Amino acid sequence: MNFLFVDRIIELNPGKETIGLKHVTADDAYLSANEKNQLALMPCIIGEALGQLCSWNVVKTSDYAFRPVGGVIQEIQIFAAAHPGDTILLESHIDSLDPENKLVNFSGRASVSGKTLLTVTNSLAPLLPLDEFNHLEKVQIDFARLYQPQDYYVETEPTNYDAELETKPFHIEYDKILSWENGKEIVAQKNVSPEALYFTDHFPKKPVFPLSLLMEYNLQLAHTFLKKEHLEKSLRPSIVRKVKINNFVLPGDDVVTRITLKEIKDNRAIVSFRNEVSNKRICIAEAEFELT
Amino acid sequence: MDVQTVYPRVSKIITDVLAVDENKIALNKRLITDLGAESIDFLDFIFQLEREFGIKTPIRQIEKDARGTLSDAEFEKGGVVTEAGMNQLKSYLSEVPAECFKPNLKVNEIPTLFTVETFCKLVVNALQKKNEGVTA
Repeated sequence: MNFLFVDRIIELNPGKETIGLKHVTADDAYLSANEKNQLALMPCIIGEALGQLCSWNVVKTSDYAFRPVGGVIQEIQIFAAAHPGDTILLESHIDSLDPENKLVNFSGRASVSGKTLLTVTNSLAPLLPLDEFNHLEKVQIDFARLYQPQDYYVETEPTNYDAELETKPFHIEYDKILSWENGKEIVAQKNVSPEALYFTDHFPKKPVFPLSLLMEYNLQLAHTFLKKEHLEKSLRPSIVRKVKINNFVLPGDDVVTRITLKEIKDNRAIVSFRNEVSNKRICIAEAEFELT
Repeated sequence: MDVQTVYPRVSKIITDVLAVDENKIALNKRLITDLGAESIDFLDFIFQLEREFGIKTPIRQIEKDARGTLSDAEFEKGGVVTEAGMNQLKSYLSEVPAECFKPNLKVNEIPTLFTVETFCKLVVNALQKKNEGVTA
């Protein structure tokens, strides 16, 4: 199970824009059930793909010296799903790359045939030495394989996807509920198994639990929590914002997640996330769900 | 613009970034020791200040400014702030109580001294520089 989500880099302007492609295939590992019970690429994985695309630019621009890691994200807006058969156009824009302060600020957009799936706004990521996380030679080989510049991109029609789920989708399940107060708060615990296959890529020399999967876990747990009181409604995550990651989650860590309902108004539910390991803050964020 | 003028907006940002009650924030509160800020919070905080006030405030600017005219060798030795460096720091961070400047302070411990007022001053200085740039 690879944890690399850019299939091709078709344009790279050092320190600025990067354009890439991600094909969604039926055997993709990170397909989950959307609100219509269809197979769709997990939205946080689309966000991860945009982050990885920006990361390639930083790695290349810094001549393989640095790579960005998760820091602060102002906002991720989720508009639509990507299904097997779709080709996602990934566009990332570096708003500022500051080698002195070792910081990159980027934004991005993922789309299929001009239809926006997801946008990332103001993602601030600290730059850390690449060789702390990756094997340099492997990164260079991967880049040479991925970077296939082309002047044009033929947009494919979005897949007319109406199949309902027949297979079990990827689900990041909590291990146990520590407390549950309907309409107020849920606290759950999850152990991050050292055997998880994504650790081979994330990262080869320093395995850490991907922020995108942590956020997907938060969204899925929030969905479970909200669904109990809104059984008759369809719930769709539409915005994730104010994401801030303080520390890495390491293989074997027990993550305690607290999800608090902040507000329900106009068919929108706003929840806050707080992830801790050993009572130490790992990540905080806020998400908005549409209830229809 | 002075510290009192920018304080309400800076305070609002700190409340938001650190998710603490506004009534816990005061000019003399230290961000790390009193309000529980971590390094990533500084990143977030600086970014929000830049957006709110339309200024550029590189995250290391406070440390750079605090060194004044001292060279690196004059300011620190083996990662520890020298006596001359300490005097310079005390002068620059005049809002920080004297008892907070511990002997053998390490350079990477300087952010533990920063108070809410430190950041208000940073904003005031950046706004001043910005205005000077416009009128120049």
